[in-house]
Amino acid sequence: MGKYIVRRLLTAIPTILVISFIIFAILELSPSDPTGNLPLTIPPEVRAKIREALGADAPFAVKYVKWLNQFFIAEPLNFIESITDIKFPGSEDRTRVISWATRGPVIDIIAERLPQTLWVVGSSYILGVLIAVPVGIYSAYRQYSIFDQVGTFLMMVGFSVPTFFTGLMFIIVFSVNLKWFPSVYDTTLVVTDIATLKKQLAQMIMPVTVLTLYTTAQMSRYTRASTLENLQQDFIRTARSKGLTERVVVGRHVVRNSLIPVVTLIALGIPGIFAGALITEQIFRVNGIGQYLIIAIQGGDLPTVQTVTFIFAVLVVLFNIVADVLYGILDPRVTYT
Amino acid sequence: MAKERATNSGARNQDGKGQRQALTEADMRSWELAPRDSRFAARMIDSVFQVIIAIPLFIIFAGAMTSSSVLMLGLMLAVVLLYPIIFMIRMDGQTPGKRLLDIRVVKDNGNPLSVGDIVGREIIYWITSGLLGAIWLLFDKRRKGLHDHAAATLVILKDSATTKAKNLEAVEQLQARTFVGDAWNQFRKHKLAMIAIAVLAVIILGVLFGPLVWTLDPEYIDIVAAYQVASPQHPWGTDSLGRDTLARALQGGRVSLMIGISAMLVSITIGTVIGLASGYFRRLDNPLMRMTDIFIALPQLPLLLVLMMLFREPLKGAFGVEGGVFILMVSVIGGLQWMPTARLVRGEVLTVKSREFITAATAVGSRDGRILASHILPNVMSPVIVAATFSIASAIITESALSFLGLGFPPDFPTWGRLLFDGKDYLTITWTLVFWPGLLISLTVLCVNFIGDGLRDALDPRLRK
Repeated sequence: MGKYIVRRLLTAIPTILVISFIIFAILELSPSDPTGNLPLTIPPEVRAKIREALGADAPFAVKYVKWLNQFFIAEPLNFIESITDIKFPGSEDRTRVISWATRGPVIDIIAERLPQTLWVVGSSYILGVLIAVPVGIYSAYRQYSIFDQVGTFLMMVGFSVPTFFTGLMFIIVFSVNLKWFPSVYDTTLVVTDIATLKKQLAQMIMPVTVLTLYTTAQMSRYTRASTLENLQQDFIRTARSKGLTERVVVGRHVVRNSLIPVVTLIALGIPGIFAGALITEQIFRVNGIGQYLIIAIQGGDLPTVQTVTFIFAVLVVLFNIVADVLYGILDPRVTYT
Repeated sequence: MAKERATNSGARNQDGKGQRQALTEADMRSWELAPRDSRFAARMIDSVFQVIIAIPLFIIFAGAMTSSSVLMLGLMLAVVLLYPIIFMIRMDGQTPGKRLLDIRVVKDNGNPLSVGDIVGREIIYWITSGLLGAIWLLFDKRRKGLHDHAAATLVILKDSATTKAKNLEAVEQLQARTFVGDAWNQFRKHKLAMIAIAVLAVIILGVLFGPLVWTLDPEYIDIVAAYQVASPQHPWGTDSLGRDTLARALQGGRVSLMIGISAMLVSITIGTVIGLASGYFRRLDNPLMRMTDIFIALPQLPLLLVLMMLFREPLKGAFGVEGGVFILMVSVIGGLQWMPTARLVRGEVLTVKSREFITAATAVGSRDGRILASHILPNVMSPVIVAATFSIASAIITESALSFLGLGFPPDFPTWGRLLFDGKDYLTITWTLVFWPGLLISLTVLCVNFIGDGLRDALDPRLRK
């Protein structure tokens, strides 16, 4: 197992490098200019200087290596320094990935925005999984019952209706007409007492519900399919014929086996929490990572887009490995070679 | 031929009431012959007849519409009077073509068609294109398909003098004998998928022919009528410039559906080719699958957004604004969604490749291209068709999402997603502006997904009940 993990991690390194190169190369092709959004009165010499200061005119290879250095060496070292007291040599002249729009380090802005995304998307993910797993199992256990019929229909609806439509409908019904919840997420709100907690919950409820609906639909479909498959296995019939109670049959024999693929699916979805929900964040004006990325793309802020998309890609690769390893731990039938 | 006739009539004489009897070899042969070739030939003859009837009919109606002369009205009246005669020809399935080929149509309970059946069939024929007919079909106890009701070509026997019992035997022989027939029998048991087909048909027909009926110009600006929620003139309301939402939604649907289908074709083609290559050629397997892994790890939506931003300008120059964005959208969405198909196809190819018939094909000296095209590809088509259906749904959603983020088509070129994007700023004033386009997207995707579900059940023999 240990050998397998090490091998997977080692093969992930070239994959990540290739992805970083693809993302970097695609973005380099773009006509974005760091001075594009500045006033037209700025003379061309000054513009050239700004570009030079930001390193926008350097050759592709130089920029790529510089960015790799900043991303893989400088930023991790900064991070370690910031949480511990260790000081590495040369901490003063380490360059950081600088956003063209804010002229500040990209990592700092990501760190600033990550909590909102984690709160909204993370809580909806946890909620979604908590609802989906029992629903999926029960739906499969009572296949063709009314609960199953209605359940699978609703799962399909939740899976098909795009989040931008449910989000807008929620705003129309609950913000515009009923005026129960605010339609704009207020990030400056600090929870100090019961009143602010209530406010925080009120503003979280709509985006979280929208995302929960989607996660629940997806996960419960998967759980149901996996449970159905296990219910038909021979060992379940054996368990029943041994005279075990339904409780033990379902709880110990069916559910445990059915959850193996579900757990790996949950692991595969975790990068999505960090990526934020681009569309939902945009609708409810949650200033999380997803919204930041859209702003950066629209403003042609290349370093930001490169860094954010690359972090997603790294997370996807890592959690793919996590999912595979989890599968091996949970299912002793799987052997790694 | 004469001998067969004699056998059949001999068998009929011995037939007891409702008693099933064994079929002779000659019977089998006559039925074997009837369905495929003669049915096709009969249909061809009938279509020729229909064209011959349709052309004068069209001229008559076109003339009656443009001129109000008595002669033309008289001709129209004649057509109406003639209809019963056409109806009588359809009676008992005895269209000219079938009559010529000595073919007979019977119902699946073995009886020949009655007048009532023909009337019902005519009515269903006219309403099955709508939701009502499909719902009616769902509650039909005999579980006959839309096609069977409308055309009543369930069994076609060469000998018109057979008995009910023999007809029944033939029904069983003819029904569900092909893979497609089996699949269709399974598919129509999936009620939600059948409803989905009807709803989707309504949406597609509405989008295609709706603008001919709802003739308001989607670009017509009428400031006075702006921000309407719903009114007799604008049942779906109007936007900030007073443009009619229904007309815009109908026009936008064409683009959204076209993008869904085109992007599906792109992604399925790439996915199938890569899957076939990596499953079949061992040397290509590892590099192609590593490439697939890399594509899976690429963050989809951000990358889509970035690509849309980047290549919009150059393509605009080459193909015009709309054409450029269309090509860009289709290739970008298709180019980032092929990975699941490729993995799926590869897995299927690996299982098919180890079967004996592939070894046999190799042994007789078939080349790789031939084995792939005529032995492997047909065997992996079922999962590909299912994947294709689901990929239409996801392409439609992706297009709407891109348009919703303002990165799709230009503002004066409505698609469903674009309409939502434009409408979301006026939520407090009029809700219909986002409701109808959003509903159309959701309904379309829902229907496509249900059809995909039904297809998966129907095309996978292991899932058949």
